[in-house]
Amino acid sequence: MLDITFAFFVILLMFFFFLSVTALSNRTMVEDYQNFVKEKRLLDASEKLIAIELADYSENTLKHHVLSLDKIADFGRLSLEEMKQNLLLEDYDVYLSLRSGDKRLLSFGNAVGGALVRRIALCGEEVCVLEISAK
Amino acid sequence: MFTVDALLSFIIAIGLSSVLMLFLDQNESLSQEYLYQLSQDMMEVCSKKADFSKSCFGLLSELGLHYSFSRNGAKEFGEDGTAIVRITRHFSGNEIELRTWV
Repeated sequence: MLDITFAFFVILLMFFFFLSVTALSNRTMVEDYQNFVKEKRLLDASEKLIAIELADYSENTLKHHVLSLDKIADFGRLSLEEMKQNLLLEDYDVYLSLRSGDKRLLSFGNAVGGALVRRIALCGEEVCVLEISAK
Repeated sequence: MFTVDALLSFIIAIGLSSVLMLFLDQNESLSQEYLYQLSQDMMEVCSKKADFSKSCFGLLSELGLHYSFSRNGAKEFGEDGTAIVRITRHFSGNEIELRTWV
């Protein structure tokens, strides 16, 4: 009789342990999914910048990976909120920079850590690196 | 009737399934797609500059990636390692290939 009672309590304990692990697992899955969405949005935003928003347009052709210095200057005049709206990143704290060597061509927000996406393109004749991070 | 063996088996089964649930039900990371994208960018930029030199691809190292570049199957520069992403292009009659990994 004592054995059965003991076993019952152990099984009950294990059941609660199982429940708590399931809850923890669900929470981890939700966090993973949110990170996944954030990284995907950053990738989409960087793609939009490189292939459309800042891409050079000449001879009826939009040249992806070749960024126009004029378009970069125009984009740099946006406010932080306008930039976030433009790139559909309103839900996050965003840091964006575009640099060519030591020269900073664009800079929005402050470094926030979190997810980071880097892209490489040509800014005029020089290779430049676009960095967007979001938290 | 409960026996100690049955109880132990039950505890082990529950414990193992809990741990498995924690580690197996996770979303895939985008890191591989990101690595591919960055490698594709580098290949695109160096193609547009028609510059397949070490200095053009060197930016990958600055960004913390490992890479190797080969032309027509012969490695020209870069490191040795197991590539995660492999991008091949045909340029001026040559087959150029960029391999990258983290």
